Amino acid sequence: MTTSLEPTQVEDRVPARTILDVSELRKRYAPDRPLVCDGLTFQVREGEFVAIIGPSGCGKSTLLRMMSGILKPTSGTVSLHGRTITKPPPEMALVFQDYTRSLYPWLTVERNVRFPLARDKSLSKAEKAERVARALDNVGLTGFESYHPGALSGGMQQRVSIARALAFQPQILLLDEPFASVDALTKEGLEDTLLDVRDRMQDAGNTMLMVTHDIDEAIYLADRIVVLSKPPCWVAEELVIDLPKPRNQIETRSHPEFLRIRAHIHDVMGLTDQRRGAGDSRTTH
Amino acid sequence: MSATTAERVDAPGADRPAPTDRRRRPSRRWRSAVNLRGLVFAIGLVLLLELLTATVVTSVYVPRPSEIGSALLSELQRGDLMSGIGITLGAYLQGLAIAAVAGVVLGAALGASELAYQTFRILIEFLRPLPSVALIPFSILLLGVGTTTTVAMIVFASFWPILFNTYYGVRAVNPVAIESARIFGLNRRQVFFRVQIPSAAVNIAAGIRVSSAIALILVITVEILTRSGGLGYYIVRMQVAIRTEDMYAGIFVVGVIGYVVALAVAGLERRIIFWNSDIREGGDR
Repeated sequence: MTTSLEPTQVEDRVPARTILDVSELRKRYAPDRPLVCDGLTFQVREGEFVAIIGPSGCGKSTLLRMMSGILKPTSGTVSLHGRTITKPPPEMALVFQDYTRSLYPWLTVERNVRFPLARDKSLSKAEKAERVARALDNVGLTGFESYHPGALSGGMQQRVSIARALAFQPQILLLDEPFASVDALTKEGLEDTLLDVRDRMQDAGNTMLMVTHDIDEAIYLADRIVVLSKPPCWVAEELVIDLPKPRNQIETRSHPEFLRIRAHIHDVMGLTDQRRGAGDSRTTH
Repeated sequence: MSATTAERVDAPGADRPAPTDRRRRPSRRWRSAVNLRGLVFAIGLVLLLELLTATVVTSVYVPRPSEIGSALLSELQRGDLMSGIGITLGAYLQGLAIAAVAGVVLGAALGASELAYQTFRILIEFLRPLPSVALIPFSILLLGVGTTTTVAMIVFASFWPILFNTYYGVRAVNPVAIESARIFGLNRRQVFFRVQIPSAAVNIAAGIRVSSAIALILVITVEILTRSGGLGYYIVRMQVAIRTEDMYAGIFVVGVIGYVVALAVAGLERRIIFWNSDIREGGDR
């Protein structure tokens, strides 16, 4: 088993067609503010689980907001099925890191999960109820329908927000550091929930893209990892993760390949500065 | 309750899933309302006052609490005090209701439209600090002496806190809450009504709580100044007639109304915006 370290090799390994195309993306929040993203380019293929990792504050969340169409890039494009994204596309759902703010405290768990379906007139009431029930079942929250988010633990609230995204039945599920605000043990449980979700999504040919600063989490879950540089961010490296499936917390994490990839990513993230070169005009503003 | 306890045990990551059971709250409120120590203190104070007025203080202007009590009981049998209560409560509730509707609707409109806010800002900043009692002469000229003037004054005074709280509530909604809804394809109008307005409920309730106290001050003030009937007029009339026991009975009734209104508003707040932990403790005015 080998891991491709060169972007060129990635092409042969994943033959599926490109669903998301991020091209030369740049973002600057205001003319007098520093550049956040500097020429990001990568592709996501149908059915993949891609993890994007980078150091804290490198612009990961900015990238995700641009990909989901709620933030306009300064230059460059994100295209979905070849069409440039200008507003949130109906094929996409996003799970935020900040579940306490992204869930609505005045709605019950059931109504929070049904929230994205409310405007969908093509679905009957029974179909919506069925989708909500299935989504809650997928994250292990059956029986908590009538609770309010404030009565649930952090991990459970994040499950609710994952269920809400699943009920939307997106072709692409974006996750913004979904486990950054929960404790370590809860995180393991959530990661395994996400593995189940991934299998279900991939069986249906759907794509997942997770942004994280946690190298282990990225290797554990992803098929491919895009490593970002320090800010302003650009793609430092792309790696295919060929660890055997099904994965589990004990065996996968102690697999020699897992350890090797982890050491390599540490290396890349530490080295990105020097690789960049001091004479690069894009960093000087 | 036993069913929810069983669910807790099976729950994944359930470290603190207190069920959102609204039935539990009244019991807590009941406990704080029947504040035994406070009650004993109040009764003790009345007894002390009784003792003092029976021995040291023997002015006709400071009747004994027991005399006030019996005056209150006999006055309540007659029509004067009762009709006063009716007129005062009627004007109070009408004024507060109109102010609440107008304040919420206009505050929401200002919050929704920057253009509207900029247009009305100067006018608002000029009118708001104007003491409403300064407008009483003008109101009498325009509307005559009577309930209409009383209600108009209440509306003018209690409108502002509701307007501003609604405006700030709509404006200060967390961006993540709005982005979550936008990701799921809700348009600006839907985001406004489904996310911003419910989020602002906390602020709206705070505005109404403040205004409910202001409105009571206004209704009594206007009644005293315009002699237009109601409890305020009753109190002046008893003062002029040197029926001090009856005057104090009237003041006592005003106090009771204020206390009941505060309890009712706090109770409503707890029921309607049950998710806001700040108000669960109560007594935060």
